[in-house]
Amino acid sequence: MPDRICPFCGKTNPEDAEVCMHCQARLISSSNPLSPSSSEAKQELSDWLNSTREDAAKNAGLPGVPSQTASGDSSQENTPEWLARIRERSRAEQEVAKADNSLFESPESPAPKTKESHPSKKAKAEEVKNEKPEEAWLEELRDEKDTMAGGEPGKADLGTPDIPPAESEDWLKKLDGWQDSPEAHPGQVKDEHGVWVKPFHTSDLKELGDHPELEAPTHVPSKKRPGKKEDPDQSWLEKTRQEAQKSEPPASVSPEEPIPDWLEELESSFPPPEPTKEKGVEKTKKGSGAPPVKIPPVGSIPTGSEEMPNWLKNIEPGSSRKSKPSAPAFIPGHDVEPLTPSQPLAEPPKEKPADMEGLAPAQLPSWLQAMRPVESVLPENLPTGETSGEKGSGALAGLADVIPIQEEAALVSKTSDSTPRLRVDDRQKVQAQLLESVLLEGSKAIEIPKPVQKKGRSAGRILVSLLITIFLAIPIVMGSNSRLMPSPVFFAPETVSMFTAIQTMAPNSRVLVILDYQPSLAGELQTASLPVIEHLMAQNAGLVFISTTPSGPILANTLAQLAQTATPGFDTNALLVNLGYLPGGAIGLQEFAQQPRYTSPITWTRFDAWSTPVLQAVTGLKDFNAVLILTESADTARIWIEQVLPTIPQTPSYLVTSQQSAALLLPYYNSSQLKGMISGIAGSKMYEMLLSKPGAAQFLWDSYQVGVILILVVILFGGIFSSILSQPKMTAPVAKDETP
Amino acid sequence: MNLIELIWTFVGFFLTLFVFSYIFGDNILFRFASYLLVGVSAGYLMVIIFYKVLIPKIVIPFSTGSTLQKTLVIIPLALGTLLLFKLSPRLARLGNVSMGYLVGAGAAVLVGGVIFGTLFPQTGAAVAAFGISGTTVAPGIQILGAAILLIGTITSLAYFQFGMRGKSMDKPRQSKLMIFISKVGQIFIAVTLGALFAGAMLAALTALIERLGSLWTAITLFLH
Amino acid sequence: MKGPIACTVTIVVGLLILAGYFIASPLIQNIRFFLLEWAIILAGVAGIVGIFSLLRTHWRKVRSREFGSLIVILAFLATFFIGLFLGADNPQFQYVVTGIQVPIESSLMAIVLFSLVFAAIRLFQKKNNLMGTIFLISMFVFLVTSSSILGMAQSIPGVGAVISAIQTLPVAGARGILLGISLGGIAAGIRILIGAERPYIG
Repeated sequence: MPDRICPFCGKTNPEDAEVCMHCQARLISSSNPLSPSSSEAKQELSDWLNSTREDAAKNAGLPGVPSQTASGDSSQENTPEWLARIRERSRAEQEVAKADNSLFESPESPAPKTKESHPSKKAKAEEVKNEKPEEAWLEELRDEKDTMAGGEPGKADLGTPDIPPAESEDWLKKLDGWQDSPEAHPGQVKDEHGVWVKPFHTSDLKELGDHPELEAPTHVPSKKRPGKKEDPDQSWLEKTRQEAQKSEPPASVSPEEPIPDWLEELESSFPPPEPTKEKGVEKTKKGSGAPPVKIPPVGSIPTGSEEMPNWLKNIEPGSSRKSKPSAPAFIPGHDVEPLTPSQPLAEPPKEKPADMEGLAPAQLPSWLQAMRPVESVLPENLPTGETSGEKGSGALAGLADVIPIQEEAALVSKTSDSTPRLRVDDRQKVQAQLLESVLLEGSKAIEIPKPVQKKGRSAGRILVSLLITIFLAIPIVMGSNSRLMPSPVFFAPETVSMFTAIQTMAPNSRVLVILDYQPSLAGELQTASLPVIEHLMAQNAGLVFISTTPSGPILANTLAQLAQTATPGFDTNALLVNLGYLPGGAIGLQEFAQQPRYTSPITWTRFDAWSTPVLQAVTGLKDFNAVLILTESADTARIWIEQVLPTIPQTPSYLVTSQQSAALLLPYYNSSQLKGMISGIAGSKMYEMLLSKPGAAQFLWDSYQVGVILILVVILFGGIFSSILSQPKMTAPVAKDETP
Repeated sequence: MNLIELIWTFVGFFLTLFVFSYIFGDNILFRFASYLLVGVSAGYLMVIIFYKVLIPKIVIPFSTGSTLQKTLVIIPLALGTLLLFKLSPRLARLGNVSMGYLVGAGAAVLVGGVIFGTLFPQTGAAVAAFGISGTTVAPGIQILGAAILLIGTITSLAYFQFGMRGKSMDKPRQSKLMIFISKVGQIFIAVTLGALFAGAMLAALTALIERLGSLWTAITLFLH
Repeated sequence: MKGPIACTVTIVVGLLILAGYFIASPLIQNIRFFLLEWAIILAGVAGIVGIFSLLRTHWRKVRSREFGSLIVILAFLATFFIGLFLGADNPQFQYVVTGIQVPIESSLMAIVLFSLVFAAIRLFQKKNNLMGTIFLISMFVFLVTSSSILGMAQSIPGVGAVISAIQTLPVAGARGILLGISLGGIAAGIRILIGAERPYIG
């Protein structure tokens, strides 16, 4: 089946389409045009179409009727392009329709029957054509309506899917004829060229005075048929026809001639279009006397006020504005409702689709509604509806209520600079302020406040410190030399055993002296080590110094010099070797324990160490008679004990340490890994007492004792005093009121 | 005493006073002495490393050693060069091999020394304390002392055990026996720490006395 | 796994050195010796890296106008170049230790006494639990036993034995601490030797 061609845009559409897919123009009426009507009706439609076309051709040659040829030259020069296009399309359609008619004509067509069934109508139509060609189409329209209304029974039934070819050809002919019928083009009239156009007002006609072809179709009064119930539409139509008979064709209406009544009424109900500025189109003359006329919307036909059809009475003036535009595509002459800014943008659609009627309307949450920037987006001082009117220029010249392009668009103001107003409650405001303060504080550098020190406390500390210092210095300044304070009575067993072991050491023994104390406690260790070194020197023991601390070799030299001062018979060149610094810590000790010759080949003074008399016969640590560890650190002592002593289990080891590590290293003496131990000045004092040789410990003993006692007193009394001061103030219990 | 010794004695005298000025609060003299100590210690250590590590263990074998010695020196030289890249934040990853070498060697030495130097001997000593042969103390007292030492050792070790048990629904917690044992261990540890604290005070006291003595010596030298 | 080469080197070197404690094979002992020798060289280079890092920190402080760090850098440079010139064993160079390091470090240790005394006084202000109370009592007892105050109690019988017993009491806790340190060291060392812990990856 061939596709349907839209009469307005000329594009093809499917066979069963009711509305054009491209321009949304109606292709067929609500009543199924495909319903197979009587064969006579189909034949009559085709006859009517042909007669209409003949009339159009005749009108071209009638006198008084301005033909296209007569004023065609001048009119053709002033013809707008859109009109020319329409004419071309209509000509093309006519040619197509003629071609279709020629294709579908058959000898079995019920055309003769149609003619025979309604001979009166055809004869009547022919009479009307002969008498008044302009009313012929209207008469035929009326006849067609009668046929459709009181059609033969069975013929109105639409449910005949299988249509024989002959019958299909008939209904196609009828379809073609119906396509050109007024029912397919409600509210429109057909011009002399067979193009369905919207009827123009007389004011438009006055504007388009050079375009006589744009005539409003003449109303052909139709005779009333007997026995027929009077239709209100028909009565209106007849009346219009009568009025048209009285008045001259609108094409010949000159600006000076009176306007028909029906047209006046039409003009009074609609405002006039805006004057256009296009070439060839005269502007609407001011004061022409013609009231402003509105172009009625699609679907509504202007009529007189006296016998207004019911459906027309319901239509209020200006109501077309409120109705939705039914023809979104731009069609000349069609009324398109403009989208004014006064309309709210975000109104929810009131009409629901058919399949969603059961669903409740969506309710926007409050926070979402608050975020809708409705007020700030909408421009202020929006143009009201009164400003829109007739367009004065452009393609929409003479038309009102169209989409504003220039003037009204320019009235839309820019959105304000302010941010969209949000609906924020108090709690959210507080939270936002809090977040802002946190972010601002995070960027700032926080100044660390200096610890506030109470002046009283610092003065007390200074006073106590000075007192201790003074009391400690007094015995030194006095040079008491252990005459003030009593000497120790109880001797530590580890000190006694050490003394005993060294005392019983064989002469010319080799002692490995490990000097690993730091300069911070060099005073204590030097004081504690001197009696032992002196005792060894007194035994003529060969002393081999080594150190794992960088300052150890220098401290060893100092110690040796001090000890030699107290023991002048000791030959340091022969019996004293300083191997210097042993790098690597525990790793170096492990290597030294395995290969001492390779690990420390030279002395601190860069001589060959293993060629000295002391070390000539030494191949390993096992050749040493004793090991003496001098260190203030418990870790250093532990490393020496763990790394070296297990390799020489038969060699006695001794330890001189500080008072601060004595408690932690005592288990090594308790486990017999160490044979003797001296800790601090107290141990040194004991050793000196055992040696019966006063030394540095004796020089410091008085101060030491004074200091110990002073510390005890300060801690005890200071602690008690501060604990009393720090107690919370006791408040007297409040007496309870005795109530009767 | 020669002049150099005299000068250095007075240098020590003033530096001691600079540090003692901290009794009155932080001041520029104390800071000067602190900064001087850091710089001198770092410089001295650098000299020691240069003369006692780099020269005898790398430079001399590489320059005057045999082919085998030279070959063997290449490995620590390469590792040492890689270790220098630790100074650069971007290239620090190159020194990971050298650091791993050091860490591995140190860990092995530590583990071996601890096992043979502390773990076995101390455990044996805790048991050997019950030996009553060759002692002058009465056996009962010796055994009592050994028992106290053993209990103290075990409870002190138990104090550092934080293992807990608990059923699926109950909060994990220690058993009551473990809580009691750890409490006893706390007593012994507190006694030891008190002794260490007292020893630290006495060591500092000795250092103060020794410094006061050196100050007095310098004063007497100056006066004479 | 990050740093597979470093981890491999760590494990191989560590296990070889540890094996030398238990295996008396000459081959193992020789390999172990060279591994230890190279570790000593690396320890020296590590010291150099530490010194340069210290100097870089102080140099940055000098650029941010902290002039105390300038003293550090100047003292370092002076000591280093004098030591390079004279030699570490030069007797004149020894005064760097005896004339600067010993006085300053000893003095710093001396003023620690005042801090320790005031810390002990503050112990009386706080509410002590069982451990705190015993700590205070132990501190007092050992201060007393270290002095000659008890020398006056010589005539009292049994005092010496009690004092001796008191002085032996820390051995129990110290032995427990030493064993705990040993066990922790073993665990940490084994974790490193099996690659479970890689502190050298940086």
